[in-house]
Amino acid sequence: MIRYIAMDIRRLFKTRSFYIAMIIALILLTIYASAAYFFTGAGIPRAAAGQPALPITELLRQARKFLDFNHFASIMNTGTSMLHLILAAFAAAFISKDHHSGYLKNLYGIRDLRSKWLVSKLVVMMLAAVIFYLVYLIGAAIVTLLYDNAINTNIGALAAYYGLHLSVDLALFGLIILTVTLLQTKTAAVVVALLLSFNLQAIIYLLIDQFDLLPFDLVEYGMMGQASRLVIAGSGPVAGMMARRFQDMMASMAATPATLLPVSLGIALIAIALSWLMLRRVDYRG
Amino acid sequence: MTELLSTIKLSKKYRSKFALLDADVHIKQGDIYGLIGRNGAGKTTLLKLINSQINATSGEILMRGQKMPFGQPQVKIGALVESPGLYPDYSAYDNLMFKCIAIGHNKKAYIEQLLKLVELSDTGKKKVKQFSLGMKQRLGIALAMIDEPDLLLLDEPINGMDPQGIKDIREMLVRINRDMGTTILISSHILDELAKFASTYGIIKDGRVLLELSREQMDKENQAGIEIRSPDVEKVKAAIQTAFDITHIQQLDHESLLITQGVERHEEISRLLFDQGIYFSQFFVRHQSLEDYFVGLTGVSSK
Repeated sequence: MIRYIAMDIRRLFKTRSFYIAMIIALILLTIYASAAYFFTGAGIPRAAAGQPALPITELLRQARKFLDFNHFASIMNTGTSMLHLILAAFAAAFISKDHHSGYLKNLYGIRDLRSKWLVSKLVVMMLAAVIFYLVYLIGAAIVTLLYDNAINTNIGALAAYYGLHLSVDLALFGLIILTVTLLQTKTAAVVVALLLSFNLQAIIYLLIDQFDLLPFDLVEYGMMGQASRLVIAGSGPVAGMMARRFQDMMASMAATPATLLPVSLGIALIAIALSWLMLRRVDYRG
Repeated sequence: MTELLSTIKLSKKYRSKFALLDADVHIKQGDIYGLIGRNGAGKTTLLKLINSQINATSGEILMRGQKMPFGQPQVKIGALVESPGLYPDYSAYDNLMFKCIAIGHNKKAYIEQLLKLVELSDTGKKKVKQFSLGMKQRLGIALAMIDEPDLLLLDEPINGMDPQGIKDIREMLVRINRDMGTTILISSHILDELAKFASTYGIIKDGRVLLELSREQMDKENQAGIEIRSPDVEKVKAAIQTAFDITHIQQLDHESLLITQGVERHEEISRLLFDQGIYFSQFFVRHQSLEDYFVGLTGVSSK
């Protein structure tokens, strides 16, 4: 098992798209940070009209203080789930590559290959997610410093926030592995990854809720919906406001992201168990 | 020789059609087992079943006499089934390295030795997607050779290759079999090529294994006739008919005879003619090609 995981780790670090995924995340952060910087600059003079007590530069400085580390650390997963989207797309390509290229055929001589493949893909994808988030957080820290703000964050709260997001990634990876196990195509895996991380399932949940079949509104418990409303504990007003705004957009949901962990772990568990069962039953079609 | 692998009534059904039905094959240690059959006969299905790529509908696979549970081979298997499975964006070295890590053989010298074995040492950092078909096939064989497998499964490894590439692969397989003692199960529909180096043949048609026979048996079975050239064909004919009770003698022309019965007694026949002082200028045993034999047995061409 360790050897198989070592193989996948080596392949991960030799995969160019892994680095491209991280660069894309950093580019998006840079674009956002630049836009926010100039947007703040354009808005503050108008807001300060008639209040000449403070010079404009000071007002700008204070306004930009709200864009703190916690804000940048969470913005790409607030509302849009952009980081999940990038990770899921990368994971779909990486996981399906063994089937898509046919390389897996070379490995069937290894005893218990199917179990090893499943565990290895989960471990390596979680490792990739941790590295991906760490790189993103370094980017967020640099942007915060460029904003001339100090990096004040509660490490525990930050770890809890990313821990929850990692649980969402685990569920996404489980679903991608299940898709690859069943369909064995790269296209299907990428499409499923994109649809899931785009939160298109919320539309299906809303549709189901119209029939009042359940004692609760399913849409409130949707994994990606909950993940997109997460806030790092102790975040400044801007991050909180953005999360609340997204919550309003999603029909003023009553449920809080408190149920996210059981939902994501439940999905992950079901997807992994199904994958494990199906891996033994589904023939390799390559 | 001991039996390395055998199957007992092995079957595989896709929807309503059996791709393989009650197949019994017996592969001895050190064999080069040529699996002969036309496209769609079930050769690839058999190899996939042995390689645990697909589940059997029924039947068993035995390795060294022990039943093999699905995905738990008791002997080391290397496989090149259908096209080579390669990561196109990596070099030959990287492709080998990944499997070597998974197997626990990750040593630079070992990988370089494998590359040398398949004559790909000079490919450097060239990506596999830029390789020719022959290079990919050779790399596929190198991947299958990692960890010195007891059994090498090769499915049409010479398909689409040029004559020099075919010769290179044939020589390499003979070398691997001879020097490393690797048992090889190779399928092909290019029968004349298989005939050059296989030690045992299995003939498969419509999912059924019709026959298994050794090279010696095949050669014996393939003896199509004895052709004798003599100025006195009538004398030759009479002597053979009298001594051996052979009636299937065909006169090809005024100086040639073809005997298609009792071909295995060719030594006795030549001694008889010599002893009786009957002059003959030519005496040889005609062999069918493997292709002719296959057609005769199955009624269809292998192509």
